[in-house]
Order: sequence, then structure tokens, then C-alpha cells
Amino acid sequence: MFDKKLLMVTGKGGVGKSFLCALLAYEAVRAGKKVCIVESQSEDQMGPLLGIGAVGHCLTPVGPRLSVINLDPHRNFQDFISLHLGFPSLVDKVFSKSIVKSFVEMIPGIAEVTLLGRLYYYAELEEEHKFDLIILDGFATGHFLSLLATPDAILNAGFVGPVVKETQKVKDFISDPTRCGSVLVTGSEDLMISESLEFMDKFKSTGHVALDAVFVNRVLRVPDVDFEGDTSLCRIVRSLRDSSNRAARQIQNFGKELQRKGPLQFDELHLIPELFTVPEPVTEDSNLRLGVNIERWPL
Amino acid sequence: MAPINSTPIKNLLASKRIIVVLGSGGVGKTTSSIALALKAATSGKTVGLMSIDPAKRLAEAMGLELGQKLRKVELPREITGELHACMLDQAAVFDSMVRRYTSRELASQIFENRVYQQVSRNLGGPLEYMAMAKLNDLIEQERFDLIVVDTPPDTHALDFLIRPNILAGFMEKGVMMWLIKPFIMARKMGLGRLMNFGEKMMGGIASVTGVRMLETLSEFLILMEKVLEGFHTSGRNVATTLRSDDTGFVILSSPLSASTRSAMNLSQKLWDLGFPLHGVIVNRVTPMWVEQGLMDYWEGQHSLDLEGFTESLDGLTRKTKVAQENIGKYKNHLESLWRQKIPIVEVEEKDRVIHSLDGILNFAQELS
Repeated sequence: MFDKKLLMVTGKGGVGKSFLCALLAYEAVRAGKKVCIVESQSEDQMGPLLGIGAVGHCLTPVGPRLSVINLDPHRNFQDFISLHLGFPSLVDKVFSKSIVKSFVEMIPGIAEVTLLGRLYYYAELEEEHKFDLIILDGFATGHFLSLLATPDAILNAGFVGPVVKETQKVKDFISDPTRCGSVLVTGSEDLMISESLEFMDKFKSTGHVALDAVFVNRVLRVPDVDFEGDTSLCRIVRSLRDSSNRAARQIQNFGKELQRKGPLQFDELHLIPELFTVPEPVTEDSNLRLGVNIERWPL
Repeated sequence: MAPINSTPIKNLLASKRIIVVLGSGGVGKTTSSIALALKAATSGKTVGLMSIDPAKRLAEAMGLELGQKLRKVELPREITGELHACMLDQAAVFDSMVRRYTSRELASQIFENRVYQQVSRNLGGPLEYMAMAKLNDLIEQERFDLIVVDTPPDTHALDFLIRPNILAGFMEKGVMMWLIKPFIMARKMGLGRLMNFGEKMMGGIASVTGVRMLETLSEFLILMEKVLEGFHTSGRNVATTLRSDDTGFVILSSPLSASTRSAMNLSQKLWDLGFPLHGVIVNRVTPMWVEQGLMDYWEGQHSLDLEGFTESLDGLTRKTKVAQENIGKYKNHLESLWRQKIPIVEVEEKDRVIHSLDGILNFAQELS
């Protein structure tokens, strides 16, 4: 997974995408990679989570081998034209004029395709930082599916020209399982799991992007013991035990359903323990490691 | 046990015609929207509920079959009002706008247009326009005492409020008149050289997109002119309604750090855009009995063998502490923005995710 150039992390809102991105990024950094986390949201998630505050549309180092940026769609469009397509003078002369902005804002899919273009640019073309791995954060499942559908929508709309050529390249890039993949994060609640299974069907049907791993977040593990008594503490402990048992059952079923859906590109789930609070800022010293306290659950 | 402050929600439901529910993902926004709608129905109102990005499974589990058409929800007999719910179906709303604002002939031309097919079916961008149009439709029907709008999560919620401005920019700056039409005219007349400002701009755009693509896009936008005007009109109507006293805004949050950060950002932006905020629901607050139990744990007031549980109990304690800090921080933030007390309703965390009509009725009860 870490040998790829681009990993896109998705999952339902609030499930812990940014947290997982941070864990994956540090895991890659430890493996000697140079990593950049990209998000594109009106509010920064990553900077604050990593303890450097909001960074906005500015590639900002978090450490020697990790950077983050929160792409602003409009500025990213301008960057796309000057950096990626190589027309810097057009940005000043044409694309910064307000009437042109109004036109461009109306072109559907433009933000999505330039975002994918930017990921491709960082992963393959950029000369200054030479990142080994780009991690995309922040696209909830529904929005992620429309992001992935955008290149096809443009290619199928009957357009021709430089943008279409770039779009084709971008599509080839994200569809190449040796260079590009995605990671799904879910919770262990039954509704969350059925939504994840539903997502996987849709994902497959839009399907040209690899799914490399599935993480189950906030998995509670406590002993299955009986507690008699009606004190509040007893109630808490029973409720923890019940949640823990329920989670184990859900994960078991999830695993079975996944295999039924097969074929999969992975043969295990990763279980992130329930931490109750995210230890902010998340740093390289964070003690969550793949295969250590992030348990592998063989399918 | 009961939520600390409840009259604000009651007042809000009694006095507003539209309630917009905002919040980041995963804090129970859809659940709360349904609960608010049910609550209003309980007091005898006819309520419309529009969910833009519903957790479909969740809605189904609660007996709401969300479809693009408004559907009456079966409610227990003791509820005197009515609840009609619908979900946003982008392509269906787009098609109905096309039918509404164009002739039959033009409509079938549009439906056959390849750009239209991609835009209306496969792209995420127009969702906010569709939400606008659908909401306008519900408002125009005039059959609802109250409309509850469950917005898309995170940052997209605000797109919903500012989207009309993007369309307004397009319409009011005369993009059609100054850029698109002259360009198509020049192409038709075979003029190789582009003369005026607008044509030069289009020349510049074309060197990026290619002339053919720009032409296809321009033709599409010309074809859509009447429909865009329609969107513009409904956008304006909705914007006027959203700015009026008839509309209430509620932010949903949870005491987790990430949700609190999102809620604070959302509040800031709402304030920046000049909207009021009528209430905040902080969901999943640690119940009192859990706090009590944790206290016993720390004070050693028990005789239980807690082996294997201490890590979780420590975690819960941490969570409770951080939650209190976050709620305090958020309260201060709200007051610094609006310079007045914003009512905050705290709802206790449930053992399990709500997924039944009964569950949500209880939840609704807690809001009052």
C-alpha cells in the first residue's frame, strides 16, 4: 500500500478519516517515504490535528518528511493552469478577471477535475519536493464517488482539447492499481457497516480505482465478564462489555459479507482501538502502529 | 437527565416556517432533523422534511422511505400533525426544472445533450442548486406550516447558502452576454480574430480548454439559458426567505474535539454571511449517571474487579473532561460572535445508535 504514489482515504462523515490519514502518513514516514497530505475543505482539518494550525492553500511542512496543504478550489484551478498546463501568463491576463471567474465557477466538475489533476501533479510531475506518497483526506463516501466519476463525465461529454487530454492522463493515473489506491474507514456500528457495504457496491460499479484496505475505527475491546449490581459504575462496565461484544459480532459479519462480495485486494481488516479522545496533536511518536496496536483481523 | 434548556427548541418550532439544520458529518444531523420535524408534527403542524444527503439506511430504519417525491410518513395515532418527507434526487430535480422553464421542444433537446446528461447525472457540483430549487418548490406549495431542511455535511452545508451567489455572479455580470454569445457568434461567422475584451477572454480560456470544448460548453449554457434563469429566480426566492425572520438556523455538534472545531468554523461562517443562529444542539453529551459512575471509580467506591476495563474507564474519564472543555469553549465562541446568549440544548449520548421510529420519538421528547 505504501509503495503507491497516491492513497485516497474515504468514509462516512465523522468516522475518523483525518485521524487515519495522519496514522498512515506517519507509518509511511517511518518507512522512509516523503509524504504529503492533501485536503480540500473550507475548513482545515489536518493542520489543527497535526498541531500546526490551519495552513490553507499553502504547502506547509509538518516535519522533515511530511507536508500538508488544504487546496482552495479557485486557487487550485489557477495553479492547474499555470503549473500543470503551463500557461502562467493566462492566469493574470484572463483567469483572474472577475467575469471569467464567474464563468469558470459555473463549469460543473471543474473543482473536482483540477483537484485530481493536482494530486497527479504532486505524485508524478512536481520537481521541487518529489513526494513519494500523496494522501488525500476529507472526501466523505458520497462526495468521493462523485469525485471519481468526474473524469468519466468529462470524457463522455464529447469534449476535445488540452483539458480532455489531461483528464485522460489523470484518469489513467487514478485507475492504475500500481500507482493509485483508496482506503475505506468505517465504524463498527451495524448501520455504519451496512452503509460501508453499500458504498463498496457503488464504488465497484463506478469502478476503476483499487481499494487497498479497510479500517474499522473505534473498536472497543474489553473482557466478556458478568457484572451484577445496579450502581452507575456497574452500568458503565456492562455497557462497555455489551458494546465490545456487539462490535466483535459486527466485525465478524462484516468480514463474511466482504468475502461474499469478493474478490478483494486485501485479506485482512485493520482494527483501530477505541481511544475515547484523539490525542491531539497526532505526532510521529503516536503509539498507534499498523500490526501492533492496530490489530490485523484476517478475513 | 433532562436537557438543560428546552424552551428555545419549542419556541423555534412554534415561530419559524423554515428550520435549516447545519452540522458536520457524524453528529446525528439527520436524526435530529427528523426529531425536530416529528416534534413539530406532535404539536399538530403539517411538516415538510427535506434531506439533502440522508443516511438512507438510517431513514429507512426509522420508517421513512425517502424518495424524490414527498411522501407522507406513517406516524403513531397520538400524533395529530403530519410529516411529509423527501430526499433530494439531483437528476430528477434537474429534469423537472428543465420542464418547468422551457418549451417541450427545447426540453427534449436539452435531455439529449451529452453535457446535460453528464452534468445532471454524474457530477457533484449542481447538488446545491438542486437543493435550492427543491426547497423553493416546497416553499411555493404553501401547504406546510414548517419545513425542516437537513443540509449536506461539513462545508457543503454552506455552499447551500452561498450557491445562489455563484449563479448570481454568472447572471448579473453578464457572462452570457459579454463572453458566451459573442464567442459563439464569432465562431459561427468564422471570424478567426477575436476583437473585443470578451472575445479576447474567451480566446484565453480556449487556449486552455481547446476551442471545441469551449464551444460545446458555451452552446450548452446557451441551451440552458432559460433553465439557469429559473434557477436564479428560485435561488433569489430562497435567499430572500433564508434572510427573513421566518427562517431559523440550528447547528448540530458533539462534544468531540473535531466536531467542536467544525461547529466553531460553521458558526463563524454563518456569522460572516450575516445569518442569525437560533440554537445549538450538542448531541452525545456524557450522561449524568456515567459521570456519577466514573466518580465512584476514581474514588474507589466500589468492590468490582475491573481488570481489563481500567483503560476504557480512564478513556471515558478523559473524554468527559475534554467534552466539558469543548462545550465551554464553544459557548464562549458563540457569545463572542453574536454578543448574546445562544440557546444550547445538550442531548445525552445513547448506548446505541437510534434506529427506530420509537427511538427517535424518545429523542424528540428529549428536545422538549
